[in-house]
Amino acid sequence: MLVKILIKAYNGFIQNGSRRMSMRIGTKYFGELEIDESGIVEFERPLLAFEDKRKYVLLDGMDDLVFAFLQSVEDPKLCFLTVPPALIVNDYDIELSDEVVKLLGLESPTDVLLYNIVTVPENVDDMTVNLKAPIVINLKNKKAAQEVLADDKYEVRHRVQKAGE
Amino acid sequence: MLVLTRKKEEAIVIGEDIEIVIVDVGEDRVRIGINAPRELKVFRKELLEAVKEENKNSGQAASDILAASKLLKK
Repeated sequence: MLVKILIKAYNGFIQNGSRRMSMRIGTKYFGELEIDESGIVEFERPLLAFEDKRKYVLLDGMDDLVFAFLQSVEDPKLCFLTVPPALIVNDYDIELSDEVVKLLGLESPTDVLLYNIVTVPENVDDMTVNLKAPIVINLKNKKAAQEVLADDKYEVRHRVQKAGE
Repeated sequence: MLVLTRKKEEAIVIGEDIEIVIVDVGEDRVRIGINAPRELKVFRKELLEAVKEENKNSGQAASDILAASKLLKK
């Protein structure tokens, strides 16, 4: 199975590539998958607590689930559940630091993809989303970083409201 | 690790362009002013620890992705 990698913008990027190279990786939730190498996201600054892992692939639309799975290419057991912030809050207004803009080589806000990490404890109702430290991806070059926001508007453990509430 | 003693309103300088001023000293807390270039990020350490902890909880857990996804679906 060739996995649909991320949203349309991504597809645009992949089609622009001269050659498509695929590779097989082990994943935490979906067994072994074939992914397009051009869809690999590389963290310029690794995720805190996972300093030795830099390469991930975003698996979106898997089995009709809402999550984009940020799966480590290097470690099948390492996979983050993420969601676009719009799924959680209406207006996610953030200011990216000069540091991350430079680090990812960002030239335009339209090149920015944002995802927030979801934590699902044993009691699923207590699920939280990290709105304080989004994952920032530059669509153009697929460089990524987790940006810890400077202002205090958002929480690391934002409680998710149940659907319909 | 370098350990310095400073009084209120005294400062230390790190490198070329970072200055840390002791603004106020209370019984069990100090207020600190930091002058540093904009591109240098300054955080309370416990915030970074919290982010680290959440990353661990999300990345390593075997989450019930079906139930969690249902909860988020509008």
